Amino acid sequence: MWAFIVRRLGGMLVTMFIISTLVFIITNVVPGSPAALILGEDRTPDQVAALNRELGLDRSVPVRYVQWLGDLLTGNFGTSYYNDNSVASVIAGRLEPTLILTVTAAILAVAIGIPLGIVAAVYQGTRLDYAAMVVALIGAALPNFWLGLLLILLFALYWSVFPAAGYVSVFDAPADSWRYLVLPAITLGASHAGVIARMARANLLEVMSADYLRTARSKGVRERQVILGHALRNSMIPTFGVVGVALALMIGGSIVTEAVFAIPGVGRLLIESVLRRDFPMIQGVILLIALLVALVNLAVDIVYAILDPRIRYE
Amino acid sequence: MTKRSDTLTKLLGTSVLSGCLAAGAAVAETQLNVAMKSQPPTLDLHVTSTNTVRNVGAHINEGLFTFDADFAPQPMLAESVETSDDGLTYTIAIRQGVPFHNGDELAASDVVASLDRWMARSSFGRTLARYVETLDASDDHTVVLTLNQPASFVVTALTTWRAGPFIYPEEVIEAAGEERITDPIGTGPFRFVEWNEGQDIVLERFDDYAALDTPASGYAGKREALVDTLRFVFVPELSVRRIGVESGDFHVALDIDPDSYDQYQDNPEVVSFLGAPRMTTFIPNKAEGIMADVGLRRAVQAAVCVEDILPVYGGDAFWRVDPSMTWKETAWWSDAGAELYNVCDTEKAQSLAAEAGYDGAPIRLAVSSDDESKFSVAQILEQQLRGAGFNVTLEVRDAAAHEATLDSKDGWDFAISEHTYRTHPILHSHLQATWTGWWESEERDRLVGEFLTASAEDAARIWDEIHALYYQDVVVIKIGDYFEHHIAADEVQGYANMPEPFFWNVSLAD
Repeated sequence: MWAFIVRRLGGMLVTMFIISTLVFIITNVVPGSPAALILGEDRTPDQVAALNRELGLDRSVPVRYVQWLGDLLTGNFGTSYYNDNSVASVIAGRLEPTLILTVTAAILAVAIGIPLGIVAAVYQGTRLDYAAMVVALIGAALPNFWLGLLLILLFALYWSVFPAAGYVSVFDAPADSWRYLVLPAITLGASHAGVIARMARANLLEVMSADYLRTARSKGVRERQVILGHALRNSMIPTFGVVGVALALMIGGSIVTEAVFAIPGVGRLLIESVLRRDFPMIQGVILLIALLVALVNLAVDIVYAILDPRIRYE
Repeated sequence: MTKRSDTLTKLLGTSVLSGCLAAGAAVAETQLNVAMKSQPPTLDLHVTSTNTVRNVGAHINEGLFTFDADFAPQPMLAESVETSDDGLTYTIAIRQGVPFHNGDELAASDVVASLDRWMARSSFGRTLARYVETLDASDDHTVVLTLNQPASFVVTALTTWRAGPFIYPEEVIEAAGEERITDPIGTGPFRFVEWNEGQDIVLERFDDYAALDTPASGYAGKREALVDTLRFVFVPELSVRRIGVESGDFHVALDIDPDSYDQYQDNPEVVSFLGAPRMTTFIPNKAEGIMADVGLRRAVQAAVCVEDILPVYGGDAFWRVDPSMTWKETAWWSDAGAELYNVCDTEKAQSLAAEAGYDGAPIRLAVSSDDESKFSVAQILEQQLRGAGFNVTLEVRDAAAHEATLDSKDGWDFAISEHTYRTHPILHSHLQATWTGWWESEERDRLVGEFLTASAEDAARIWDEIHALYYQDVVVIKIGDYFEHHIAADEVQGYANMPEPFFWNVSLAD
């Protein structure tokens, strides 16, 4: 197991190097002038040239790449073109909202999706099953953007239950912060809840027709015990894989939700940085997202092994 | 099930209650929340003309002069200004007893350091710098500016808001060196508290603020922070800025779509403001490519029908047909050369194009996709010009790529541009040959030289001549003026609605 983890970590390093190189090339090849955007409409050519010099953009791309990679190896992610802050400090500040949002949304997706799937599977073919699956389908099919605006309209404007937008850190005001989190977490979690519900139902149905469950029933084990004690754990293994994928997707996919709810997370930072051509920031955020996705995948593999004694990594 | 929903009700009830208690305990604290589209790149007011920077920074820093409601310069940090008889020496007395937010008192050395930096970094500062011989502090509260030739626009230049000469403490200027200022300290009615990256900027009332005792007018006169905290929240999504004001999360939202204007006329809880006038122009590339030929530029100019284009900016209240390159609201309005504005004559355009030898070669029209209105303008223009026989192709890029294209001479033939409000002709970047579109003209250089040194009476006449030359040379093809749209909750009191939004003298009704 440990050998497997070390090997996977080594593979991750190679992946990160390839991603960093690709990201550097793509950001530096795409046309666009960060200096023009910073200086505004009245800029003059010598102002643009001076700012390019200040930002180091007067050097050639290969020189910049070597410099950037060298800095990266010493843990220096560079400085934002846009506001002179260090990339690492800006990302660190923006990480908390994204992590809290995605984890909350993932918990919500699991808490809604798995019971929904179980109910649908247990009452397969009944109206309850159809109702659960219609709900799941709606959740999976609604675009984030639209759902977010709809929730704001209903819960912030018409009923004034939750604030329309913004973010309050749980560390600053724990009592207040959850109110800002509910609508965005539902928005981000809804589609994944739908997918998880459908997966949970399909996997449970598959397991429920297995021989060992028939044996259990014929021994006289009560149906409740058959499902919760025997079927569920085995059916959860593939479902858990979907949860892992959902979490990884949410980290990369929180961009829209963060923009709609004005949450200062890394997703919004990425889109803002792309629009501003803030190259060091784009590179830093993409590296971070890649790293998080790789770590989530590793964690899923490890949890697989714990859940299912048949899976062993050599 | 019943039990669970009871718990939920209790939970909700408790938190609403605790929310109320928290608000009750802090009853004296008032906070004004202003939602803006994006966060500023910096709070260094000298280096950029980006409006988000002024939206926040102008509450923190002040200049020597500022505009009143009629756009006449009035002293702000200056006490008075005297001009010598030969027009070469300006002696500016600085107000005494004005504290910076760091506790130091404003002195002439701070003014000299700030103006020196501004004249080196800001594009308008550099226009003034060409006329400046020396700038010195003659004592603690007097600054003397000497010119190498008489110039009529010194006070106007010192009144600029866009990348204007805002005053910072000398040590802040020194600490910044060649870099941007990162320590926003000023003399303004609000002081900087914190900038939560990507989220908000928080300012609070500066208790020791030295207010003028003259009545408030425009940006001038008495300024007073009537709320304890002023918070600028960055909300990229337009509909969320709107809903946020309707739901009470924000008090003010800047940059709202004009289409919602009518809806707010019937809503007593939300007040709609027409903000700063802006101007849409169609800029030809006069340096390279097919549009370097002035004959062909005149042909295109004759084909444009502005009344078909301007409704992209919303209902009638949001736009106006106007030939002037300077706004109606100012004394500099001009219609010299206006016979070439909004000609809308396809036949004339075709005959001018034939005269210029146009053979149907492609004309590249560059536009940014980030701005819906510019993009709509470009689409209508494309149709109009194609209808008149010009082979126009749209080239759409995102803002960063579009701006980079405009900085290159060979990448485009026409571009759509929207310009912000200017109070004086010298603030027009068009007048500079280095500005995008590259208008090289000896006649312009001669006239601008005369204009900048002319007496006030002569200046208006010379400006008319320059204005006529704009149309003759087709420096830009003016489409028209349009207005920004802001909204505020009805509890917001005292908002002055000047072109640059500001929130001193603004209070919240109970």
